[in-house]
Amino acid sequence: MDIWALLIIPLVVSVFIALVARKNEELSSYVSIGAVITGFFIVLPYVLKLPGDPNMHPIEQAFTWIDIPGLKVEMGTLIDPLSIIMLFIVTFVGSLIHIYSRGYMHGDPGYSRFFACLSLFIFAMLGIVLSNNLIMIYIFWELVGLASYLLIGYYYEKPSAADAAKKAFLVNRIGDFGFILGIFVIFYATGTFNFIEIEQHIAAGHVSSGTLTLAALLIFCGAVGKSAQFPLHVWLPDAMEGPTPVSALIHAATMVAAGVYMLARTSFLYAAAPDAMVVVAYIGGFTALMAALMALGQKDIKRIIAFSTLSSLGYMVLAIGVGGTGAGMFYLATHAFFKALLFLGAGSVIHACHSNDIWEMGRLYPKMKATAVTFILGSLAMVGMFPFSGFWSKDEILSATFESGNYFLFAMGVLTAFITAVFMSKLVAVTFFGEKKYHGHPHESPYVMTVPLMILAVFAVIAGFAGFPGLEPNFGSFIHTAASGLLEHGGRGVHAEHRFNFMVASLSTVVVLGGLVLGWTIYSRKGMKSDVMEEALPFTYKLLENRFYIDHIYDTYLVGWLYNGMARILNYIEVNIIINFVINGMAYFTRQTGKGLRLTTTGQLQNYAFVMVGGVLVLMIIFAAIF
Amino acid sequence: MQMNLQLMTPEFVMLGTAFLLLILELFMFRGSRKVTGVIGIIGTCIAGYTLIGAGTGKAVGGLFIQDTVSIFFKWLFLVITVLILYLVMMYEEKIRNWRGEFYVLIIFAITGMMFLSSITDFVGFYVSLEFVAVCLYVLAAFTNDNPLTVEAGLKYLVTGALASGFLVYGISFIYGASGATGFVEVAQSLKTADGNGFLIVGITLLVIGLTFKISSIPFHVWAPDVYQGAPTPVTALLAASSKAAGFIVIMRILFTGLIHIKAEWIMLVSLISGASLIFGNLAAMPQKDIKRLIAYAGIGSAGYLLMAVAAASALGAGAIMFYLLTYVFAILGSFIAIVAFNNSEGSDLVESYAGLSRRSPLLAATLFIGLLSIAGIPPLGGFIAKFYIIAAAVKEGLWALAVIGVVMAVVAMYYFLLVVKSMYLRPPKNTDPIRVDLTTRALLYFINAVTIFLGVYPGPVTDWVMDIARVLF
Repeated sequence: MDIWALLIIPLVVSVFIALVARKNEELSSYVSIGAVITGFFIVLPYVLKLPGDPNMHPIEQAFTWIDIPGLKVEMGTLIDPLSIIMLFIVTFVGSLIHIYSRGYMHGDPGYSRFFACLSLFIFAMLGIVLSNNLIMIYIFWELVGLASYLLIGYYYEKPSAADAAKKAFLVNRIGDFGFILGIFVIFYATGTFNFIEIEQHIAAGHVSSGTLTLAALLIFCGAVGKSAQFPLHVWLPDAMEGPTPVSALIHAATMVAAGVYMLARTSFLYAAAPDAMVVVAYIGGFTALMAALMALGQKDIKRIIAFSTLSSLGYMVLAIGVGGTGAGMFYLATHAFFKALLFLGAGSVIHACHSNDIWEMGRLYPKMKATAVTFILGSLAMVGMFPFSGFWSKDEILSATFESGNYFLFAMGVLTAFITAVFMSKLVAVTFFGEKKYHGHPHESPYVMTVPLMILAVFAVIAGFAGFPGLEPNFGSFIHTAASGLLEHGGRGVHAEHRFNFMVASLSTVVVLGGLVLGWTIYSRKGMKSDVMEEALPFTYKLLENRFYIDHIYDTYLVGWLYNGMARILNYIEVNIIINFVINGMAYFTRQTGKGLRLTTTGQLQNYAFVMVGGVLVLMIIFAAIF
Repeated sequence: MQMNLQLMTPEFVMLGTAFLLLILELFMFRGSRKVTGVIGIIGTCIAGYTLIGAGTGKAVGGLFIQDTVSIFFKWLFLVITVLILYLVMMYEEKIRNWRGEFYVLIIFAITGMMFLSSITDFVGFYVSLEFVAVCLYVLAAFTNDNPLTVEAGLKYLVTGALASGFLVYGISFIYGASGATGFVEVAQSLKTADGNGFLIVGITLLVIGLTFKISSIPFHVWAPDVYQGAPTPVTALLAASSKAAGFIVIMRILFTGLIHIKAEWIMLVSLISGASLIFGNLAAMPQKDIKRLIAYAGIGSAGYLLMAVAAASALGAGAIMFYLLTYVFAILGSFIAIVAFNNSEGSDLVESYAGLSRRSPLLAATLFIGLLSIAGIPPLGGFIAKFYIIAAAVKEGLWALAVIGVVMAVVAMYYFLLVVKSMYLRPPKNTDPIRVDLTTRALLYFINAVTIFLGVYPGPVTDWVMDIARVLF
């Protein structure tokens, strides 16, 4: 029952704030924070039991939701190492970010609304993690989309925020359309939505490989939307219009990782569809490299981190694509810590400087030591410096890619790591060191904001040891259990547990060090007012700054030509044929018939009796004619 | 002859309550009779208590049967009684004379319906039916100071008498063809009989006679005038329980007594169903009075339920029960809101509901949920019910009816949304909030919660009604 409480508490709190407590800001924030911390303490015993029992048997609790002939839908929860780790990340990072928000959102007019949406998000996110079937995951998938929409558009009076919210929602719809089609394909092929039953059907070889590939690719569409992979990555940078804690929680640590989690949950499907896995791997690798390049051309501190998130998500998807589900989930976990830390640190800086432009900051280190130190630790984890957490998880992905034998993807991964090191060192050098370029008097944020930073920093540094190769059982072995199947069978192409590859590790360390040195030498020079790259390579910089003009192409061609053109044609059909002729004509006809029929009820009793007897006669005659 | 009278305990409790109230009435002064309503509700609850774990079996030599189907319908009737008695307590200011008797007649009518849900014999059926009908005739004309009500009562009486005539005539043909009055015996004797002309005339007259209770074509003519003119609690009683009673009888007669000649009546029921769907929904569109609107919509609802009858399967029977369950809650919630609104504003016109959402969000929400549930919009109970009915029809190959049902669901959306538009989008003429007392609020919250629950999590309820429905086949 405690597992259901995980879902019920945030939902009740969200409704409670929306209906009852919305006038009382203090109460709203306290119940919302209380809900997520309660969730954390419900999850904690499961997490603590995990190292002692890495091969735990999945616990499934379900009840029938809809039961009509031919269609049975359950609502249920599935507890296994995969979901326990994800639950831990969501509730732990969620708790810290809720606490941080109390300080960050202080004095905002929509304070209660913010916490109501946050609790709604926690409810929906936990729903995704706990789902034991595809329909339930889809429902909660849409609910996190709703929460994300509400929170990106939190400053709805700002047109850019309202547009960004709409863009996020619509772009996600494209992916979700594929996702629901994939669910239908699976249901058509297996007759069930339940993960364990689907896996049994696939393991028994009931489903043809073509169907599996189709289903895997369609379901991957959902992940492409939610986890912002190319070509649907365009919404995530714009989503930074939301408040910074939202960017940290939803658009870095948890929701965008839901796509990766869903791929891990359905890894048995991908293991049986090697062709689909190749597509997944290339999309992931390409997104990682593309986003890292785009990050080079940005000025806005949140956008730089947003592009690095895109790149990290690409890494995770790459890991799933080369069969390293364990590596992908490990990266997801460490990424949640250091990326939340980076966003919250950025929030703290923005809070102090009242600007997002890194070229209006500079030399903040002496002014805000706690933020700076934790931010630097987070950056080192992000670039994958030994021995920070990012090193271990990134290394697992790279060695999984290397061992899969696809050296092209491996090269892309290493190049991404190099570029990441360059732009992260630029970010740190320009923001916290160099010359003073800020206005006013920035000061350190209150404890309610810095303490969560410090806790996250500790995890960003040490979380990697969970995957330490000498440790047994380590992170990889938990996920190995989940990835190699809820049933006991090793899938084709899935090799979740990786040996530590010394060659790959040293190569990536050298590359990262090179990137750091390069970035630091360029951007720590004195007297720099704007990006030197802009003067040195104007064309490349412009290209990167405008994100390879992908958004532009979408706007001009997809929206401008295709969409507007189609809209014009459809509008013509709709107005002239459907509305004027069909709808209005039918409505007119129906209304007139209705008026006519009303006249049959005259109010005269004699007429009524006549209608009754006449009706009987008519029916008798029709009936007599039939028999 | 086995009497087994203990099977009739709930009916006896209801009758006892009614007689007790009649006697108490002698000792009461003029004035409020809320206490009568409270005693009536307590009596109904005791009847419900005796129904918990009630055994199944036959009584009075097989004339009375208690099975899971009759128990389901008895629960439904008891819930209706509680809500209607509460509705009368809200409404009683408007009744000048014989307030106490008003409560008593309602309890008598419901008792008759409880007997109807257990009958196994044409004679018992006709007696119970007339018992209910006489109570309803009196109730429909009860507030005799209003000419509209008197007219409604008279129309109800005359058309009802005409319908009863057809019914008895039909029964006599069937008796002539089979030589029996018990449903099971009729079925046995018809197993071998070929469909001769007299039998077909009998079935036609019988089925048509039954359409009076459920207000479907061709005996629908009374519904709009009576719904509009009768006291609102009586309208609610007619809409909710008269329909339920009609359908349990139809299921018992057609699914038990005449199951072997189903090819003949399926055709007839389909015709009536299609005509009722089209007529009821189209004629509801131009209506201005909300009670009249519900009357026409009720003709449409009867069409949907007849579609499930025409399916003549366990799935169809389960769909009927689930539909009635959602319908009872949706319609009674709406009527409680209508009475509360009328008490404050004195009008039943749709246009007077303008801006209700700002004056009383709860009443507006109740009508919103109740009417849209009847229209069949997810995630409300009515959607699942319509879905079930159409699924049952499609499964039995009644494609034409299913298509009419889906199209008419769109039309239903139109006229119910007109009410919603008036409540939510039109500005109110005066902005004073409408007071609703605490008990009514609690009751409305409960009813709305049930309607939403039946739509969001229908699983256990549909399993339950499907189990019950298999008894009939």
